[in-house]
Amino acid sequence: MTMPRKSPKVTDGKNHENRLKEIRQFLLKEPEEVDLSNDEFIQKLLSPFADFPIEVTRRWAEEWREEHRRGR
Amino acid sequence: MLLVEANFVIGTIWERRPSLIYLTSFCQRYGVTIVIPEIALAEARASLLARIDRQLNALQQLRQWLNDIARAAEMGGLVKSAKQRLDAIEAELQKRKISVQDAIDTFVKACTVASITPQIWTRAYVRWKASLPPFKELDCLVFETLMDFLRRHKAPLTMFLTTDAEDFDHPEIHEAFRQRKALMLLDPYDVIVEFRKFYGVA
Repeated sequence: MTMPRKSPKVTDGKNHENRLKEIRQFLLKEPEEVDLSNDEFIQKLLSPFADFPIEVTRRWAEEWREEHRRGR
Repeated sequence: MLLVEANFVIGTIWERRPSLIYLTSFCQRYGVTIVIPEIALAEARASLLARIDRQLNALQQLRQWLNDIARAAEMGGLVKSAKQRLDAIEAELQKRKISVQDAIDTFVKACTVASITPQIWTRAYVRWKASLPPFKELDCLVFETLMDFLRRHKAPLTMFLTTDAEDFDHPEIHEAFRQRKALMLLDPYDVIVEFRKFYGVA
């Protein structure tokens, strides 16, 4: 006698529920509360300028915006 | 679906704004599509690389001056050691350039890039010539690219996030997005709030 197979719909439903729960848990946190130090994707985005003081790169961004403002 | 422009990339990579990093991570983790117009991506890429290119050009200039000094002042030996230092600086700058390109490529892999077509270009040119908002040539290209994209793609929740209120915050632009069932928001935190409402967290 073979064991009855789990209905794929039930599994999908559970996965969906778990995922929704995970999404909600993430969204419940404020941006400053989320620890992204182990998020490889984010760390790769930040790595080129990670060693620069934030004031310096923010000043660059402001200068870039100023250039854009003066553009036609 | 989250539509963005160059400020989103600059705000994440250069400014490290927590709300933008949060949104980028959220979208990437949970499969929310980030859409960036090709022209906005090109603008962000060029801006992030421009500073490094400027420094590389300055190095080239320095080398030429050193060559002049070596010839005119007969200081070949000293100039040679100075050039070795410049080589080390150049290697560091090239490494940084590759790392910026890698970062942008990583971002692109997590995005949908909305391409420009001749039709979009024409519509943007007419909009720009007619002095219609968002007024600037680049911004008209961004706007028309997004309008074209939204004509062909739908999602249950669609938002356009721009922090460039000066150019985009006009009733006509808000209306154009509304007609395509999309919200234009000027503050990243408002986008987070909309996601919370959508997922029943608010």
